[in-house]
Amino acid sequence: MVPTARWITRPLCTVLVCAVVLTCQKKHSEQTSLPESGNNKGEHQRTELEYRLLQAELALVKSDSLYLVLNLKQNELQLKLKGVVVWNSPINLIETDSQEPEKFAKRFQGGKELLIRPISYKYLFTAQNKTPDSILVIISDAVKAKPELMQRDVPARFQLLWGYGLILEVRTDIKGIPKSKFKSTIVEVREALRRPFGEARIVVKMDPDDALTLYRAAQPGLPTLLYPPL
Amino acid sequence: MKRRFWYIIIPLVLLVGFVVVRVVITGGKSPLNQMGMFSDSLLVQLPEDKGLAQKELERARKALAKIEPSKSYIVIDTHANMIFLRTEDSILIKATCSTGSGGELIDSVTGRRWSFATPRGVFKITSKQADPWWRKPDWAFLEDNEPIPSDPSQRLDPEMLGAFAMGFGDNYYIHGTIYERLLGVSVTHGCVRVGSDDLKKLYDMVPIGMPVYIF
Repeated sequence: MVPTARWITRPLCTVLVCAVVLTCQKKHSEQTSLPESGNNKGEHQRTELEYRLLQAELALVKSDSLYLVLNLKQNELQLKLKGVVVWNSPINLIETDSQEPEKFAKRFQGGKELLIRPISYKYLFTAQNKTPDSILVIISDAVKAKPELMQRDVPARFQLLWGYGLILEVRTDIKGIPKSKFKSTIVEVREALRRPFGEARIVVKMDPDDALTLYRAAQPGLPTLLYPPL
Repeated sequence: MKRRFWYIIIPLVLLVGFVVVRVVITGGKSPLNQMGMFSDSLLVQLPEDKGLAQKELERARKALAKIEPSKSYIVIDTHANMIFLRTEDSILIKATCSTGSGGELIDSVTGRRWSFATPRGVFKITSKQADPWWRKPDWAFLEDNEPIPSDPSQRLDPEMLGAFAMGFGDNYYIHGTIYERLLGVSVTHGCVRVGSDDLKKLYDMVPIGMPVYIF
């Protein structure tokens, strides 16, 4: 081998080895820290889980702000304000393995039995404008408001992410226009690269009106309470 | 000379490689941020003693049950411009409405500022009125480039609020509109406009004191 080529391939190999070791370590630590399966939980553990759920919800109620409930037990997504359901939508799984909700719940809880996590990121793949821009321009002139403030993207496909490889993908029946083909490709490539190292992804089909509310209300930082499936 | 060059290049390549791998895998967020830990659910622990544990559990159940409304309540979804009369598990009335535009108006003369957003949070219906008259505030005249009248009677408008109005919060109303075609669009000055048929149903079913949840 030519000496120069050797000097290039050596560091690249080192980088690759380091990356593989690091990600394997990460995956190993995640796997070892995952809690035992719900089937093996005793009575006390079930009671303790209920107690922790109640306490977690009471803490959220005190905060005065909106929060999302991922109720995998009753297959329902809820938005709550002061402990009261203000929006709900059934979890209609599509393209998702039946074991995935359990995997999602375990991953959500991590090794520390977490029941609340904030949304870290949301990404809109495709959407449709609710009101045509030409109409909004006329309305905005009449009501003295900026047209962009009145526009609503009706999402056709979007993702909510909690970090730690937790993804909820929402799809609707409407035909949306890609928001950014380049960015969407980057997001999809990133996911594909991350998949072998562990992620839990739930895909749900939702009514467009419900999807609009969820997409707009689920801002990064929105606390999410998990009701595990078991 | 050539060897020294590689001494610089190798660590640089390693560093860039790590950054790229890390950004691709984590999305550029540190694992600590990704965890976004909430300690509330970690700290609480049920007492080991069975009796005490049961008592503690019952206390928590009651505390949460106390919050849940036993009767129906109003929900205003400003994101989708929808209004609901609902209970925990069923929707009694679902209607399209219009909520605040989120715009602002500044009086160039006095510097007064108005924000036209529908307030979010928990409120109660404080008043109910049939055939309400609107007492136009200063911003309504400023918006139309009209002089603010000194005679209070010139502020009254019998049409604008529709057939019914239900007050909540700090002078906000759920009321009718003469612009029904704009329902579903965020165009109001903070009040909640509802179409005449739905408004009548709501008015008949909503008592004073009913909770209003706006998000």
